[in-house]
Amino acid sequence: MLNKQEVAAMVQQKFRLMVEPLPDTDCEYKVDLMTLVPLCRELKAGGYAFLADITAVDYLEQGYFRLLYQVCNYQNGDTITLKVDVSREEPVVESVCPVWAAANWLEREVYDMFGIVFKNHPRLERILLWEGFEGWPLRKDYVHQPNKYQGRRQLD
Amino acid sequence: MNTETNKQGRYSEVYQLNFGPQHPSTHGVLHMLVEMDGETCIGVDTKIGYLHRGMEKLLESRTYLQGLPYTDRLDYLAGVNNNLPYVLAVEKLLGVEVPARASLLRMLTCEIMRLASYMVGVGIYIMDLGAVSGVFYPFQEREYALDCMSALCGARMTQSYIRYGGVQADINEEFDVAYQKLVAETPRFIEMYHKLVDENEIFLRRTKGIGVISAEDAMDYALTGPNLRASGVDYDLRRDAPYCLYDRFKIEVPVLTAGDCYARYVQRMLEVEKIFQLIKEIYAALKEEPAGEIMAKIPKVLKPAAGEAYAQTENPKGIMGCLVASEGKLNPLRVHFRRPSFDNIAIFEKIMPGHKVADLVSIIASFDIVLGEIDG
Repeated sequence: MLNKQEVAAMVQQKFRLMVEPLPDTDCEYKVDLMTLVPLCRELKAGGYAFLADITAVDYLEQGYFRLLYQVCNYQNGDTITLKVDVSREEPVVESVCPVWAAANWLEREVYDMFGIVFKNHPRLERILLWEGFEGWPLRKDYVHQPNKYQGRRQLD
Repeated sequence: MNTETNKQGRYSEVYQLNFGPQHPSTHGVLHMLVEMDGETCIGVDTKIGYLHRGMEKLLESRTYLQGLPYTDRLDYLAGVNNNLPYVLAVEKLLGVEVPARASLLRMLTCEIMRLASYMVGVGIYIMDLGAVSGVFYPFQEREYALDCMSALCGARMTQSYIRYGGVQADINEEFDVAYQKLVAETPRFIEMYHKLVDENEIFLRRTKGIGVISAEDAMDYALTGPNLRASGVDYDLRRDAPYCLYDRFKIEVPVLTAGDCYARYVQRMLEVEKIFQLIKEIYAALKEEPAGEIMAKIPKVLKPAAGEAYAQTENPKGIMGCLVASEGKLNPLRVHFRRPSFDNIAIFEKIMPGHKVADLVSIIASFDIVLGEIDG
């Protein structure tokens, strides 16, 4: 059962160069794309059995999406935040579904809204919007087209 | 159409049944594509999104104050509880210290609305199983809770009572009257409802051993709230990671181990008793607290510092989380809600196969879902 300090020690010991603790917090880490799944496995083995949330933020000007994973511990209530930056040109991330089953729907929602592809996801389909919807609505460069799906035509 | 031999060796056709989206037992517009072998369900595909309003997108184009009332519409049975994570996350970015009195008022209203939401949860459950009279008693009880909120802030359901830096209004005499009514009626209701439902044979047959979730599955699928605790996992944010001033109080968390529909119903009824105790304790603490500020000093125009903040609260349906990312502008860069019902129903695909259609109704209702929250 790892608490926040023990997680920091574990990260220091096993993922020294790939995972960077963020300043001013004791529970937030900037994680390398390749290290995400191994780190998640390590956290789950250390008692972090509850994947609370996966979501993304589009930093258009900086040119990347930031994925945020909130991982909690049922025993002591600690929450660890993992932040993964992925380029906007090629948004591909390894899925954490093999680690937590809860990731399935959460990753589908991120895919639905941002078009970020999760490798090895069992069923990467849209979840809130319908198949056939064009574009990724929560991206900052998404162009809203009123009435496109309303079934009525705009007058010329 | 596929043809297969079923377990009993009889020749039967596997067919698909559309469960919803328009059906009273789906609590809104939940659509399940159920694969059936005779009368038995062998696979479920849950389709959601019929009530998707693009809440997160809407909040990006509004200022912080304009965005707040939208959050009430997620879990519309407990509006105040939805305000809280959003406000807490924004306050983290603003760096605001909330007055103790405001925190107590936040907790009091959250617990009152939690009581009201549980009333709907158990009431609708009984109704979905065919006992329509069972819905009226909890709704009467819920009305006392809503009267309290109405006296406090003027709105019954979507209150937006919690504001950045504090709350909208302090308790008044009208609230005290409504509160005394709630306190007088609740114990009588709990006793009566236990007598009415707990040992009803039809109810027992429809719920015992139906939709069993093991503790491992519950944790793996990130169930939260009463559904998680009914499966034997002892986790409640109010006690384990306290926010507001919950650490001042002793939070008792009932835990059951059966994990079936009956356990989820009993779990809610046990929690109602604890919530009622907690409401009385918070109210007593509020009366002792010296009268004072209910709002922190915050600027008229909110421009939180750039950064990302995440806050979690224990809502009636489970754990609600809110991420707010800011660039220091008038409106947020991104708002995301972890909606507990959304994460809870992902487990349907796992637990439903093997049950009859009538049991699916029982399982859906036992989860106490709200579609406004699932679809966001």
